[in-house]
Amino acid sequence: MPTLELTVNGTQRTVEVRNRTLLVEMLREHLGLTGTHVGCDTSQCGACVVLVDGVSVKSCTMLAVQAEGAAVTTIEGLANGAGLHPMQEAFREHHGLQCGFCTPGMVMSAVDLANRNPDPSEHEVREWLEGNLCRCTGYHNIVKAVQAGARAMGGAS
Amino acid sequence: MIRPAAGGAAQAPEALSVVGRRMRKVDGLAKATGRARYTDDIALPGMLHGKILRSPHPHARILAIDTSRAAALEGVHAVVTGRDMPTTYGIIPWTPDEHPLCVDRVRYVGDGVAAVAAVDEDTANAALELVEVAYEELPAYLDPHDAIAAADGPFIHEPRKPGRNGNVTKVVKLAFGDVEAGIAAAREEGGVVVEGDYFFEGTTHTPIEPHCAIGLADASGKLTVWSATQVPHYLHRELARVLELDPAMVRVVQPPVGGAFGGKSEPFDLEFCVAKLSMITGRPVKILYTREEVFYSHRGRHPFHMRYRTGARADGVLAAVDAEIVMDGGAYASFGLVTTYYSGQLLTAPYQMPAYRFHSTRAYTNKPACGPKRGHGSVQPRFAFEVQLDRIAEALEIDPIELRRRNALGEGTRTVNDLRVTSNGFLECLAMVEDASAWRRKFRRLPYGRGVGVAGSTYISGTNYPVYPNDMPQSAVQLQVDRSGRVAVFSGASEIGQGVDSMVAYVVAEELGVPLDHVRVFAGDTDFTPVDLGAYSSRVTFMLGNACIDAARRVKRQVQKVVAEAWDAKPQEVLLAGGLAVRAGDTGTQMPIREAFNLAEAAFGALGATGSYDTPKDVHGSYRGATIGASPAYSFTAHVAEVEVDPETGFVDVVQIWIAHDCGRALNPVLVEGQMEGSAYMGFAEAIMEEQIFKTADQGRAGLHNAPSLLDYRIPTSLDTPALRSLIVESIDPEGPYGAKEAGEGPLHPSIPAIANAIYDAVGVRMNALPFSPPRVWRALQAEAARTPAARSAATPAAVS
Amino acid sequence: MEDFQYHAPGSVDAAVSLLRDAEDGKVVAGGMSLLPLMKLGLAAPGGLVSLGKVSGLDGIADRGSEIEVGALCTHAQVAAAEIVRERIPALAAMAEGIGDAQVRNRGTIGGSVAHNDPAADYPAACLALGATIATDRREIAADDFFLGMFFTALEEDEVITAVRFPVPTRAGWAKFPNPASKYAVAGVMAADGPAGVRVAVTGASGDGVFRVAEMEAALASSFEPASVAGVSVSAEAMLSDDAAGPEYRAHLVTVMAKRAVEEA
Repeated sequence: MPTLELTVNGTQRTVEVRNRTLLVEMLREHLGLTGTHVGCDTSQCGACVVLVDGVSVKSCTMLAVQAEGAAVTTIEGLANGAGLHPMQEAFREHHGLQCGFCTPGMVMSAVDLANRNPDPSEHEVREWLEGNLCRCTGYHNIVKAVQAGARAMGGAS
Repeated sequence: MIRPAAGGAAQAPEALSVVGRRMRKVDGLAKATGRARYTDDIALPGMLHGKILRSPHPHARILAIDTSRAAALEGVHAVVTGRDMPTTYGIIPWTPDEHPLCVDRVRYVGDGVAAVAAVDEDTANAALELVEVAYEELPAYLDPHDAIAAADGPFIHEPRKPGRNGNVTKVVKLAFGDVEAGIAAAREEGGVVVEGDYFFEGTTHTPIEPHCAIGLADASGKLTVWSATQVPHYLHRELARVLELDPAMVRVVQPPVGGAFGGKSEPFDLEFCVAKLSMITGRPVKILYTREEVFYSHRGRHPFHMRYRTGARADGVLAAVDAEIVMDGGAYASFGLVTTYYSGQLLTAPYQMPAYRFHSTRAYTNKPACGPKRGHGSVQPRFAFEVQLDRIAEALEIDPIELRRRNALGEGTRTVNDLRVTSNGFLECLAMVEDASAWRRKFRRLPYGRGVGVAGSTYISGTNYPVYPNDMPQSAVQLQVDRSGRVAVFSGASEIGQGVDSMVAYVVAEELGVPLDHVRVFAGDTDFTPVDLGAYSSRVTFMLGNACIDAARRVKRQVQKVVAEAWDAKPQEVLLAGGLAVRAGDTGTQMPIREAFNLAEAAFGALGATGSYDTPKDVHGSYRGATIGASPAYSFTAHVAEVEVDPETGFVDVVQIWIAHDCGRALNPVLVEGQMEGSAYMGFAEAIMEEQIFKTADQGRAGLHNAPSLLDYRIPTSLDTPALRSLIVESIDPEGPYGAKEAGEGPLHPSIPAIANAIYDAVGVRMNALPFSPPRVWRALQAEAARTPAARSAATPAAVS
Repeated sequence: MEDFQYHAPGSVDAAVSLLRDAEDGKVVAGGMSLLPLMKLGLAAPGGLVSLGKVSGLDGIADRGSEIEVGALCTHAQVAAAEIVRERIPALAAMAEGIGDAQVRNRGTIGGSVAHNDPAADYPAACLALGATIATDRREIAADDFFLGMFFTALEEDEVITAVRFPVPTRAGWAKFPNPASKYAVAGVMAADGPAGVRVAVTGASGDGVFRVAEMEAALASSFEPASVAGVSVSAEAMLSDDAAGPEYRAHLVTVMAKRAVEEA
């Protein structure tokens, strides 16, 4: 089995996977990082979004071997030792989550947006989140949370 | 008679210190950090993976199943078939027509036939391919009318009584008042009678979390099942019954659920299979549905074929309503008996009807079983009826909001079918959406392509009776107070994202005066929580909230008594709030709540209480079926939707929905708004894009799901979803906890007819069939243009004064 | 998903030779087209040759009369590139409308073109703009490249290195997406450029991307929305699914063509 070296949430990891192992399978099953969820088999729902080298990707549609040498950040690594990342705080504060299943992917996707655009408009947020499906909230509070989180991130850096 | 409030509804808002404030959810932190553990996140040592073999045929007899090759495959630990679990079950005890795995007949493409447990998913999948099943295909029914017409069979189910049609689950015919006289009067007195045919396409819940279950039978014979269910108690009962276990030896654990919407509200094949496979292997077994299997498990919105006849007098006041409904139930009964009643019973508010009749028939078809989806049974008729009202308003030249106002039922009354209505904030809902949407400036006044529409609705706050007859409480909690000042609440209710655990914490914090983060809610484990019947029919806030108040006030009385003695005061002078016990009118006299608890424990022994709630039984009529639809309280809703129709493509852009909802009292307005937005979104989704449809024989394979994936089944994204504006109306129900009623299902209903009515306002076509997808709207526009060549140029229909 | 051999060579040449040696080998870049098919069991290559470690294929260059887009450029890169936005805004708009943000972050132009999904957006842009597809061994005109659904002129071991788009005088893009998959129900690029006036349609036909001669002729005489508004395509060749039947799709082609011209 191929041995893969990569950085996950700031820690250098060496993982044995098969070529066909998906990135999300490696995260959930090999590394026990179950905060990244899987909601579909066809790359639509976005519950599995993580950052690879800072860019949001659907980890169900990427092979683990394709992440060789990369830096992967999951919801568990986002706060980086702090209590909560500003985007997580914003989702919690603005009731941007109900069942919470889409939340990790939603938050990771939003962080990527905020890194590109520190003050996104409502429309920009809605366009960016097209690949993250939520079935509970009607997106209303998610959009509010992402805007607030992006502003807080800008303020923090 | 309205019973005195169990929940202290009469309390003035200023007397409340927690309830009514905008607060965070108690589980927000775990969910925002990825630390919430859903069922599939659980991995137990030695766990096996299970898979279920599913039928490729819509209807066939099982002649033989050979599992020997599968069982012999290396890594396979067990294979089971229907014969290993021959007891039938069904969520409604009168219609047990399902087996965990099919025994001698498959009834839809996707019906479970055999299950395997293996060391990993690949091996399990490989083993499925080695299971050999010999089928004899039977004629398949895909249309409910065909199924009903085949009165002599062949039947999808053997008739429960000889001579009955085995393709019919249930027929309900009920009549209240003289419908024909009402219709005749409407005709004679310058009124109007509107007739219409409507079709509501099936849709499915599509929670983002697929169903998942883990079974573990231990050496003592005790079975534990973890499951993403919204009904742990009913699952507990059915597991024991079907697997022939003593219920005392069964434990159901419900981890956080990643969305349900009614789609996880009865037992499913995977729960029985993980249990049985674990009982055989002695190892934990997990089954996680693929997204495709979620579509097969379904239990979603029934397709409804509806015909309505509605008569109104010249002043717009309703004279009679007559409905004929054929429901496409799919392969099994599910909640269908209830659905059939709900299709008629829940239409009788928020409008007064002097005469009402409905005739509903639920047919079996060879498709995945339909069941309860958010707004169970009443979303479809509401669509048809509110479009009927729009047509009446137009015919009588009355503004549609005014028409609804004239027909409003009022509070403290009974409906035509004898349901007791307590609080009712419908008129305020109408006024709020009228103002907020600038209705008067928009209705019939916007340019061609743009329009507004209105609709109203009602929904139950729980059902008056549990699904199996019993006289025990519908909901209960147990409360335990620690010497540290921390309060633990053991709640049987199911957190499925709606915020029930938070609601429990708010109520207990309110009553006992402890800080919110000193309330710990332990929920979803039948081994250490009292029974709550489940997260369905919008029952939880009303029932569990009252149970929490009951329990908390028992403890509170003890604390007040002992502190009052210490202060030489009256018990009612002891207030518990903000982490303190305070003497009323003398805030200088106070002690930390912990000390108060310690005094009470010293006086009474360990501090704790149980609390429960059961429904009042005098809230409905006495005719057969009168209990179904009866609820301790009803919520009311009104929506205005604004749409922009692209006449070239038929694409309907729903620009905004104004949602006014009477939830009695908002225990936490943030959560209520979240429910309103989520509901309106889901209604919008059904209106515009969702459809659970199946191939016909002409399209290749009869009964095959047309699109069992999110690649094809369309659910709205952030960009599709309209702006949503929530407007809370608080009618303060006399029996609700602090006056609260439901908020999670009612606000779905009006989205669909409000959008249909807005499309009419925009482009002058009546959309009588769902969804209002671009091709369908385009065809309607084409037909309208062919009928009246001037239609497209008739930019602005005359304004109604 | 079946397991497979996996290689991540450092050069195009190495990739080509690995492909040659592989049994039923496939190139993978972002994987946005291939991995979903593999997960559904619709593709089961014996070997995957990743271009992830190949450098030099992710640039966008202004070559005067042409814009050259490296095969590994993601849709997000093309959408954001100043050169593209200034010189062929229709191409940037098209790239911006592919899939969703995460698909655009991973999916590449080379992958999209090589895959030739009948509902993908890039084939329409290539055909309408008269692009040239450069490979490790030759240059192929878009007209000769797209041969039908999931079928191109590429040889088994051939690797796309770049796509070159002639800069048009004007071009416009309009797409009616499937709300679930975001693939085109009908997507049209109309362009007036060095290759003449061209109208290319994706998403509508089971045979993949196609041009509409009658629309091109009408636009050649007058490049106005009205020129194509009355031109319809035959419903017979149209795809049919639950997003749209053939007649509606044919109608959409006309509407989208009109709107593409409006955008130009």
